[in-house]
Amino acid sequence: MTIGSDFSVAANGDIRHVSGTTVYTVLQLHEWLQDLADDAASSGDDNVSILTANPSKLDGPRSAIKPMLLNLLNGFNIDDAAAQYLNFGSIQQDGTNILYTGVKSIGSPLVAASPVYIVQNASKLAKYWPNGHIQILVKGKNAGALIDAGDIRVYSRKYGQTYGDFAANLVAGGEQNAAISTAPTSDWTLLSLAAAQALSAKVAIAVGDQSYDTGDGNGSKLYKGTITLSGGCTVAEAAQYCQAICDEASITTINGELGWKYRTLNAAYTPNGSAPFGVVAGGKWFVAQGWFIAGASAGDLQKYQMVSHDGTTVGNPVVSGISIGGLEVGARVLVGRDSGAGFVTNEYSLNGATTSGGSTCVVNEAIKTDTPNSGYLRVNGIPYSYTAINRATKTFTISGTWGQVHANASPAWCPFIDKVAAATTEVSTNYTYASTFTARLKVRKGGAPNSRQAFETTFSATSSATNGTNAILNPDE
Amino acid sequence: MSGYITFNNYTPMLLRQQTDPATDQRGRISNGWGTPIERQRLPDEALYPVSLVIQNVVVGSVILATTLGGTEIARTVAVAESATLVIPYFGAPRQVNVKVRKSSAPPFYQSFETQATITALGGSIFINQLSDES
Repeated sequence: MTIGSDFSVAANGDIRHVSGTTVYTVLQLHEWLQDLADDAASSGDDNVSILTANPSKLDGPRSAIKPMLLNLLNGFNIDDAAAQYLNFGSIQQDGTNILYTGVKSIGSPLVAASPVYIVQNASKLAKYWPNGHIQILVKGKNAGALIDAGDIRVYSRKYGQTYGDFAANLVAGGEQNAAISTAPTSDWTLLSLAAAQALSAKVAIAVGDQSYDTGDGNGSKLYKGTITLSGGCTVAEAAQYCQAICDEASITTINGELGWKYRTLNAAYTPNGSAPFGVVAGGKWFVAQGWFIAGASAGDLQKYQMVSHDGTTVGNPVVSGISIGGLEVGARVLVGRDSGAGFVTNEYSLNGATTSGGSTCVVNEAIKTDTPNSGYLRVNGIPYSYTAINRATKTFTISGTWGQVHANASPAWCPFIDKVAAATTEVSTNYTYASTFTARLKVRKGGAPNSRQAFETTFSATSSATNGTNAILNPDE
Repeated sequence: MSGYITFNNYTPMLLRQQTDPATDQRGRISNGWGTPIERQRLPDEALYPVSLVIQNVVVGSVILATTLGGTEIARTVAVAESATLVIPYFGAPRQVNVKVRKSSAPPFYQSFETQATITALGGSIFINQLSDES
């Protein structure tokens, strides 16, 4: 078939698609019209000849490798149906009152047959193009008025793949590109679309300002929405549900927008095109900014991280602890950071002398993340226990009162265990894991009877909740 | 109603009564001795043809002259850089539209349209067709 067979031109200038499925370029339309325009007379259903007005003119020279900007003149015009069979350029008609602009999606990788849809003026355009990358015309101006300022957004959102979207503006005519790429997400979207959507009973999405403190050291942070898990829903399932409700066919409303066009919780945030609620990588859900995850099980607390409204990356603290076994009741146990030859005894220095009868001390250094919220404190080597710390003011509050005055700048440190064993196993107060360090253990039991040889060793304190080792207490008698 | 015109006080002549009589029925202008020297012209009959010369035309271009109302007057296909259209002259200068197109075979040119004034001596226009390719 030829373009002349597929299109007709009425005497009033209406250029209409009459048959065929071939899509022609804008240049081919112009070439055909001009081919007719110098004919001696019109023939068939193509009413263009030297006797009629000039039907078309290009802005610029003909080129088969560039999108053409075509002007249909003197009342010649296409309609929306005809536009479906034209691409690679733009068509302006009725003066400048109507404009069809080319839109071409580009990008790699693209999962084969990824569906592409276009949102214009908050609505999806009726899809007539096949799946995969598109090259079509989209009406950007009608009756002299730009449609939504000429803006469109091209999407590809098929559950099981990463999503993609790209904004384009049609005002300039020609052909506007939209970069779209998709990739399989089969490593984390294990549920089917239907199964994922069915989790709606277990995943509640609520929009509204809320502040939360996960205890990871970032303090209380503002979030713009909360995703609450219940009914045993795992974080992995919740991530799939959130991806599923942003699928092209979603009918779920999120923050007032249908899921197929939902992009971000707040206009100030940078959207995550591939997964509006955040991607899952390495088994961890990187939740999109502004969302707080509530209700996750203890075992899932390390399987996601969030970004608060102010852009702070927030996680859940990794709770670590130290456990020493092989002890005997009455043995003195001391666990602290290893200096290589002993304990690190100068972690902190007093900022001001302690006061008689007082119960607090302020240190110069920031209190380490992995210093427990309560535990043991030694100042000038004298053991105390503390019941609270204020990390903002670098203040320890000890149990009881100071038995003596410690001078300004006195060294202080926080053993993890500093006590007489009351059982064969002693554990530290839990603390937030910051980084792995070498811990030193000393166990002594010298009083008769049943005195034991001094035991000393080091071990690695990792993110485990049960760091530590067993003491070996040999008789010293 | 018929009318008469006298010519040197001789036999009155019958003027045309209708707008479309057969040519041989039109009023004749006599020299007074019975010898007709002219016949009355219809309004759409030209005095004589004149030439409209189109200069600087691309060979192969189709050239069409029409009235301002769009009625075809003459057409030709240029075989040289200058082409001539034969235009009827009606006794008074008039404007005609001229279209020049070459868009079926390369090299392609944009449609060129202009107007020309046809006088008793004909007319001449110099055109400037623009390439549609470069």
